[in-house]
Amino acid sequence: MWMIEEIPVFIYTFLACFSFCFIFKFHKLSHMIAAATGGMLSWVFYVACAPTGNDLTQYLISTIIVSSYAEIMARVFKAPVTGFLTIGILPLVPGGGIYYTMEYCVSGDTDMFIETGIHTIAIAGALAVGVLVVSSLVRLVHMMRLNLKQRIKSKT
Amino acid sequence: MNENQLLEITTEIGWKLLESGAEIYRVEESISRMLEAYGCPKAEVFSIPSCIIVTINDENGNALTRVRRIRSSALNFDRIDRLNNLCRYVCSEKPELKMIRKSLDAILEKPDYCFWTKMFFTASISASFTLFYGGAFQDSFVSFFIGILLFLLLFMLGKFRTNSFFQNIFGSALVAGLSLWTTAMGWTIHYDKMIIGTLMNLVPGIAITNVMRDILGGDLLAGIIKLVDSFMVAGGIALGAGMAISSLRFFFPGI
Repeated sequence: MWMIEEIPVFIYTFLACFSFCFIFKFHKLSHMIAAATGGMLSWVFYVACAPTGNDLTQYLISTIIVSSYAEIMARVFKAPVTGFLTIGILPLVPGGGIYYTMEYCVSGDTDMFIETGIHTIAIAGALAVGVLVVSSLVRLVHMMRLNLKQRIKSKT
Repeated sequence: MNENQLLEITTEIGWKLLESGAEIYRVEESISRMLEAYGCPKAEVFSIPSCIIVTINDENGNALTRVRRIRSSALNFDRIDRLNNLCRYVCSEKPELKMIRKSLDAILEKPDYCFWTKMFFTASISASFTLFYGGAFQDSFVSFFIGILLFLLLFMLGKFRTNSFFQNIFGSALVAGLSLWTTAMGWTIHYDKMIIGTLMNLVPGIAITNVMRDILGGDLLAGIIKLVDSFMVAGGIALGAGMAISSLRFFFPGI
C-alpha cells in the first residue's frame, strides 16, 4: 500500500534526474532515459525497503541495486559507468541531512546538531560502502574472466 | 613514428578525459594503452585530479616527459563517452596521428547546450527536488524562479573566475535568503524543503561515488583530494545558508 502512495514522488524523482542529465551533458536520449530510470529505481527500492525499519539498511540496499544497474547500463550502452552512477545515486544524497545539521548548528541546538551530523555521515558511509561492494565485485569478475582467457590461451 | 607528437596527442586525450570528470584509473589506463599500441610499452603515467605526468623512452633511450595541469573539472558525460570510443578505436586500428588529431578536434568542437536550456533545467531541478523532499506545489513553483536566479548568479560569478568555494557560499546564501523571505511573506509553506531542493544544484560537487571508486582503484591520493574537495563544497553550502538564515531571522522573528 505504502508504495502506491509514493508514486507521485517517483515521478518527481524521474523528472529531477532527467533534468540533471542536461547539466551533466548527456546528449543521447537513450542514455538520459536510462540514467533517469536509475535515479527513480534508487528511490523505489529505498521505499520498498521501508519495512526493515532502519534507514541505513534502506540506503545500503538501494545503493547496491542502483550501482549494479549502473554497471549493467554501462555494459549495454558501452558508455562510462560514472554518469549513470552519479545520476542514479542523486536522490539518495543526504541533502536534507546536511541542511538540518546546519540548521541545528545555527539555532544553537547542540544535541540535535551532533545527532543529525553523525547520522548524515553514517548515510554517506552507507552510500560509499554500497558503491564499493558493487564495483569491487565487478572488478573481481572482470579479473577472473581475464585470468580464464589467459589460461585457455596458454593451453592451446 | 614521431614520439614527441605521439606523446602530445595521448596526453591531450588524457587531459580532456580528466577535465570531463573521468575516473583516474580510466585516464591512466587509456594513455598507457594508446602508447602501448604504438610501441611504447615502458610508458609511465601518473595522474591526480589536478595534474597528469607522462614519460616515454624514445629509440635512443632518451626520456620524454609531458606534464599537463588541470584547473577545473566538471562532469561532461558525452565527452567522456566519445573520448573513450576514440581510445578504443586508436588501440585497435592504430590510425595515423593526423587522423587522431582530426577526430579529437571534432569531439572538442561539439557544441554544448545553450544558455537557455541550462537555465531551464537548473530551474526544473530545483522545482522537482522541492516536490521530492515534500514541498507543496506553490513551494515548487517559487523554487523554479529561485533556481533561475541561482543559475544567473553562478553564471556571473563564473565569468569573474571566482573559486568554487566562494560560488557555493554566495549561491546558497541567495537561495536560503530568498526561500526564507517568500515564506515570511506567506507565499510559500516549507522554506526548508525549498532550500534543500534548490541546493541540490550545488551538491553534485560532493562526488562520494567517484571518491570511493578512486580509492578502490588504488589512487588514494586522488581519493583524498576529492574528499577534501567535497568537504569544502558541503562546508561552503552550509556556511552560506547558515549566514543567510540567521541574519534573516533577525528581521523576521518567529520563522
